[in-house]
Amino acid sequence: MRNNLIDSLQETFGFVTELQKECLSFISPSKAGYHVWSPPCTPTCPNINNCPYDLILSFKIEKNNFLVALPKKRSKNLKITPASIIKFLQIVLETSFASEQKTHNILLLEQTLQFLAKQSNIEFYLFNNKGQIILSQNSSFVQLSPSDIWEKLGDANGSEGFIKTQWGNFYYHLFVKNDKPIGLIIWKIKSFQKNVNFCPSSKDYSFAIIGKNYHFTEIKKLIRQIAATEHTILLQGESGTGKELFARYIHHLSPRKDGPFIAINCAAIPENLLESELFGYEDGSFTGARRGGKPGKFELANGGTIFLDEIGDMPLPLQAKLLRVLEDRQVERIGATISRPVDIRVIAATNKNLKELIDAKLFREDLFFRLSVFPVYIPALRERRDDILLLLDFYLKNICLEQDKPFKIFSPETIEILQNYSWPGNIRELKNVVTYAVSLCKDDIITPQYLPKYLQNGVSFNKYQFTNVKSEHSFIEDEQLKNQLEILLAKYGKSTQSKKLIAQELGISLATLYRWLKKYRIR
Amino acid sequence: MQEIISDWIEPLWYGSIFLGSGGGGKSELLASVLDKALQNRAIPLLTLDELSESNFFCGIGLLGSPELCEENLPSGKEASIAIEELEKYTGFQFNGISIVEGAGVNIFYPLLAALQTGLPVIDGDAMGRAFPELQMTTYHLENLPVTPLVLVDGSYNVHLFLEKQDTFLLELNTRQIVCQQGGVGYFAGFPYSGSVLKKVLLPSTLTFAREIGECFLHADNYHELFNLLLEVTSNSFYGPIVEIFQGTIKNISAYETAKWKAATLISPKGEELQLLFQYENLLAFKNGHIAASVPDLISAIDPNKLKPVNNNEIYEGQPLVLLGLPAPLRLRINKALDVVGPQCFGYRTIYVPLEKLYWDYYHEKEVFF
Repeated sequence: MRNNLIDSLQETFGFVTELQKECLSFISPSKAGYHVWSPPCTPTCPNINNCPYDLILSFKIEKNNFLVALPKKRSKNLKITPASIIKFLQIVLETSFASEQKTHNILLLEQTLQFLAKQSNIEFYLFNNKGQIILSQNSSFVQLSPSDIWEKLGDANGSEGFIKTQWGNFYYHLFVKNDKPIGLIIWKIKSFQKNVNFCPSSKDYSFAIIGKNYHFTEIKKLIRQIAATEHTILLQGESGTGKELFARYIHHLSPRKDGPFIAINCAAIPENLLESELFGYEDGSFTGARRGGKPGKFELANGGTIFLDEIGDMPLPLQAKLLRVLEDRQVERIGATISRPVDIRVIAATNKNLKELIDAKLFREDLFFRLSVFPVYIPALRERRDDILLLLDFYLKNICLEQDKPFKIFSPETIEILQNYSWPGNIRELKNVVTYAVSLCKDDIITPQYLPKYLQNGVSFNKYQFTNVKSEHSFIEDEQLKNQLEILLAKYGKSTQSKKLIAQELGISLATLYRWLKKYRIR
Repeated sequence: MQEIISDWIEPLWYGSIFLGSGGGGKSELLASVLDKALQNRAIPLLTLDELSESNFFCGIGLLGSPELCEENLPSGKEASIAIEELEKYTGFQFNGISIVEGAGVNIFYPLLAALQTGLPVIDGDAMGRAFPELQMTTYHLENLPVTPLVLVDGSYNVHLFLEKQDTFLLELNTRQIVCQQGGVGYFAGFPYSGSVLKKVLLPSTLTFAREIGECFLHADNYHELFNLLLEVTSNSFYGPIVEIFQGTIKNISAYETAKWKAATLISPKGEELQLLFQYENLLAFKNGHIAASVPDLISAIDPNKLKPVNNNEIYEGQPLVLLGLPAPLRLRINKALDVVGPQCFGYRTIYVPLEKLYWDYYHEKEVFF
């Protein structure tokens, strides 16, 4: 029997060897059942760094002691595979049953499987005959329902095969004894996509913001220069030009990059909630306030950067409070009697003309000057048309990868349409259009038929010209936009889902859509 | 309209080696000839947008061994003969030269031809990198023939391929002549109008090669070089570079029965990488897994000298960094992979994009879009 077992292990793993004698002083062979060591066996072993073994197995079957080891240097062609794990388990279990030593030593299974699983890059789940998971190794959070698995097994034939789950296909092997299942293992190879190729330099580098247009490149240079400082930055530009992206970029390039980046959209949060979101509150400061109080975004951004998007929509009373934060670098929670110091860098952004708001007494002039230490104007996409092709290529590539689809390209006709379009929703709209096309197109080449209807044949090119909606207003354009919004609401409906669709079609965010609806008093 | 002047040549040379992905041939002598010739001359460079739709242009390139071309330097006259013959047979008058293979020697030879003929060169190419065969072009993907094509061998004999024929057969036929006639030949073919070229050519290859080269000229250390290359490649039709491996060459071997050669690199930690190449670097394996595959570019650089390295120059004990550069999208669609994917070189596996192989690097980091 001894030879049979050793031979089986030899066959399964390619090579096993008897343990060196010097190891015996550190390992006491099992008095019963099995034991597995994954070196170092003890912290006192003198060969701790040069141990020649990957795994040491100790068995006692019918008064015979087995001490075998798997050397680190095995033949190149022989690898520990999931199949060899199963074979190994079978050998051990069968040997155990053959000798009628019904030791269900879980330690053996646990240690061996976990060791081997790490070696062979697999995820696995081991169930007992009651369908309970007794052991698993997985890198991702997977909630497997044992009853589902057993149910699926009922449909499958044989003791081996594969089953489909919502977490992918798993191979399975059913352990059977006397025609009764005694256990089940299911496994799959971990996705090769992650961690197989560790890139040693990835930590130190950052990607660039896409754009080669001359003015855009100058802005990127300016951003790189001011990112390292502590100055407050005011980003101005139309909706969808990537203001938050720039804010993240600045944060990433700054010495605060390891600190938090907290973004808040001042227009998307109801006025009465914005104060508590920004400043936090003390325990019992108002009805419904959380026990123990809550820190505001300023406090959460401590040591990092706070990004105040759509600052032009901030109510006047809060503007005064914000001004104090900018001046004193201290925040006072609602209901608090003391101020708390905060170490933050502020980046604000707006798509409105703040000077006009100041004239209309809707924005504090002192706050404007405090915010606009470094004003940065981010150009609209139509102001950097030479980047459209590059951006289309960039998003096309990334969206295909994200959707796990084969790469696609745009046909020359599609490119022509996209290059000539005015992109009122800027890069956000461009990304939406590419996502739309990639999702629908099953071929290699995206022809105009896969573009959103309003872009096809360039028909609605003029219909959707929102070009100057937000900067240089004109009465006619306002009217056009209002009409357009009404048409779209009539077409899609007024539910939140419909509004999401409308926003997507217009290439604007939901928050911007709500703002427009409010502005034009459309209900 | 831009012009190529002598300042272009050094960065273009580094860029041409990088885009050669190990192959493309040595182009040092050709580059120095051009550098001299451009001291008081310039070559007009046309962007794809600047091409007149109705004007005709022809593709120029070198077939065969770039090493033999270095031994017996061409003058550009070969191409001018080929262009003249092609004009005769097509009835077109060519208004410029297009580059077929935007890497290695085949970036420089069309420039020499442009100087000889006085024609402008188009900023674009049909491969986006170095590839060994004529059918591995974007023309092939659009089902556009290479012919009519005129081949001038090293002894100035003219060979005509006027009938439309399968690109693969043409590749075999031209290669046969080149082998019989001194190992190197110069061709003029791909006679197409501006309207066609706008759709077919990969844009801005020459300026991209130059920008790549500038990174090598401006960097003071490897870290800086990587950052510069990352900025340039991110803003291109290729994609952000990724570091595949850092190490020294442990050994170089050739598989006797196949076209393949292999270099094994070893890192300071003892990790090994197998780089498989024919002329160009085609596959890299790390820990038994694919670490990069054609058509993505695998380009070696010397981290100490901060220079790109051609496969002709590698030796055992040499320190190298392997960088991966995602190929332009046009080369990575299924139809293109049938012509330039790993299987076309005899490796029976599907192409895995660098962005999937280095998922964490490309996707879990801050990617700014």
